[in-house]
Amino acid sequence: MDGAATIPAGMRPRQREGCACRVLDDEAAVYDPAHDVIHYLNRTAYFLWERCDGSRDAAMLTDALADAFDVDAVTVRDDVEETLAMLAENGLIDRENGKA
Amino acid sequence: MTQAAVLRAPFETLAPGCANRCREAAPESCAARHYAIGPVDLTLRTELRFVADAFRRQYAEYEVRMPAPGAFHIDVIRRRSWRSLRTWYHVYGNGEEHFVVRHPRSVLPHVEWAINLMIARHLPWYLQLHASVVSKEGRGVMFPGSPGQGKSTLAAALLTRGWQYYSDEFALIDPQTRELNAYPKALCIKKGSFDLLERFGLPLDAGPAHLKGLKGPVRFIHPRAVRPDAVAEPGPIRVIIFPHQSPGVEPAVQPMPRAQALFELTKVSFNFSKFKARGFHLLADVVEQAQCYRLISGDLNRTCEVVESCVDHVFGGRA
Repeated sequence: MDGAATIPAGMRPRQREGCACRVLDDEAAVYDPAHDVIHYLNRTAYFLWERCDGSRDAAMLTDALADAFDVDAVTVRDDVEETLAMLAENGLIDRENGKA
Repeated sequence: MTQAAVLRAPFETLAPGCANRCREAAPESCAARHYAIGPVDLTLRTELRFVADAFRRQYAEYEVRMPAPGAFHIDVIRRRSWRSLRTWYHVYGNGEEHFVVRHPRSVLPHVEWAINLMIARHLPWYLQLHASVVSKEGRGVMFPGSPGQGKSTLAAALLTRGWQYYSDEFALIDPQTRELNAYPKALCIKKGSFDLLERFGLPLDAGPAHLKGLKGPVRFIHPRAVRPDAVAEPGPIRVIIFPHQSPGVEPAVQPMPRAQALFELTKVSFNFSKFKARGFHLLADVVEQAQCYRLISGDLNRTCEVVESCVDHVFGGRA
């Protein structure tokens, strides 16, 4: 995997290309052919991963999650950053800036 | 007694060329019997009558006259060590030495084990999962999991309640149809369950128990000795239950997210790495058409009741 587990402020993560995803009851399993491993994403992790298209930074993803799950953005900010770091660490998102 | 069993070839880890080969081709006089156990064709060659007879007692009705093309060859040879003067039994699969065991009662379980290794390596058509699998009213119920979770014992007990049998070791999933195919090997039961299953009226094989390495004493149950119609026809997987044995705890089932079940299934697949993305989608299709649960199992009778109630609930369309 890629090592450091932080998403720099302003960075707009993008899903790693080539992964296969199956959505099952609002959750997802993602197959990463590059590493021949499968990841299990719960509802919120999948919600974030699905929106990692290079157009949103962590703050925007936090707002989107807060809106969708009707929670306070401040409350979930740390969880979002932790989840994005986890997705990056497991090679499911690229940490390069998106082009949006 | 200390058991001497040497595992020569763990799943998928043996480098090509490093295996001991069976240098002694089976002599012409050697007894060779051919079997077709579900999709598994094999020839057992041995001059050791106690091995040939013990295997035949389990699998007589699967015996066939001619070997099928591509059948696995299992050879069992007795050799004496000139250094220790001890007799050892060598178990080979397609000429490759898999096990060397000391005790005659260890031979049959290691023949079974060698067959399992051969299936895992050389039956690539099926996506294979480590699971015991049964069915009720034509709908498959799979219990995937690591050893020691009571999968075989639970499958055996469910047979006494009219369920049918696919396997206590392999879920063989046909990638074309997504259906289960039976590998109706004899159920391998550990010592802790002997008395319990005899109280259920199950016909454990007679005579002294066999010895299966670290698993200790085991006995076998042939599914057709339970009921002539005990072996299931190919069918769909409708319920997936991950068992976890917790003695003394009231048995219970809890729903499990399908995505998590899919993730767990890949961990118990023997050959997922050969299927890759195709296997991922195949397993996703399987869990999509099934209900998934975790089972805390305890008292066997209560566990059967809980499982049966859960499965009836699913088949009743209320889950």
